[in-house]
Amino acid sequence: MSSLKEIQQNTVRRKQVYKPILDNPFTDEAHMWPYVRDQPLVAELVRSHVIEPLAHAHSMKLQSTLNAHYGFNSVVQYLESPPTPEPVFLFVCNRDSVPGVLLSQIPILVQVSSCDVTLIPMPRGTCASLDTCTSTDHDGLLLVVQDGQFDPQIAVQLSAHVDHVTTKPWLQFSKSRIAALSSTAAISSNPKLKSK
Amino acid sequence: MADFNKFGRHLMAGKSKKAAKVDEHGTLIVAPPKTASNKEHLQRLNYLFHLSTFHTIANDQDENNALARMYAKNLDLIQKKTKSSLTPGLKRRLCKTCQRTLIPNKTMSPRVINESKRKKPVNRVLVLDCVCGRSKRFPIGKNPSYKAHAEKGSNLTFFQK
Repeated sequence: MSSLKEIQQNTVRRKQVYKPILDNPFTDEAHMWPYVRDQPLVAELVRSHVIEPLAHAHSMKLQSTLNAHYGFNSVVQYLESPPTPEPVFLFVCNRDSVPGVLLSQIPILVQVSSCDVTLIPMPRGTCASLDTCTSTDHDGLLLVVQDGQFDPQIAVQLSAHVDHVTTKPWLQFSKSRIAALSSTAAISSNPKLKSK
Repeated sequence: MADFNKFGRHLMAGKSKKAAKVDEHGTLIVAPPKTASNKEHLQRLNYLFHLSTFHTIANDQDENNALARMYAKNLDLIQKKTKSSLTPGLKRRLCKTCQRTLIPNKTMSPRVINESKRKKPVNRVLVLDCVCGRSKRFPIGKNPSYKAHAEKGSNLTFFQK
């Protein structure tokens, strides 16, 4: 009579294997995405002073009071343009289901851009509220220019609650991000299977 | 006596061996290794990638990114010679044709296109155009939450620094 554990051992067909792999040193979360202190307050400020006015203007089919850009192409075009005197805020829904390959372009684009950009990662669920602001694809990205129509008090509050990331991470050497990648391999010479 | 020896040996074997864990798919679970076997090669590749990125971003005088491309070419050759693995996140930063490090606004222009007639969101593609003319295409519309095997957090175990 064989135990349950023994039956389980006999049914083993694959085993876990590990392979060393090198990760991109500049995709480190600490390097690229800034840390937001008091995330609920920042989310509430953005919702009440940025998203709601934009959503109201969109629903009433009015010209928006804020200078806002939605979507990946529009944001990239703005950041690649010649430097403007006005600072900008870039709100990114990096916790929602936005493609990772698209999001990975944003932090390095912000670092390289000649504009004064404050990158603000938003909490989960913000992507759904951005849907109310525009009918086009927004990719979880909203860029707002801090011109005369943007409340300066809100701008100060937002900047104060966002820690700046490592500026120009390529200027300082960081240690290798070496990891073990797990996968499975077939067990070819299993004596227990052979004896059956 | 022979039976006793057999029994004794069995007991000893039972004491020294731990019961192996098997998951629901019939896969034998093995603990991850504590060190990487080819750590030196990977560190060398990491240094070359740093150099290539630095020269691409900081050196504006070099129009053809000759030095940065040379470092990236070395990275590619060493990686192949030593059979080392790189994550998709790192490989996406290198152009396979001209060996440039792909930095937006410097050597690459990213854009999202939709070439379908009805402009369905399912057909959206992220295109990274290198200055050499080669482009990398990532279909992002079909499954926005797609992650490669190596990008899933549970499959990667980072060695302690």
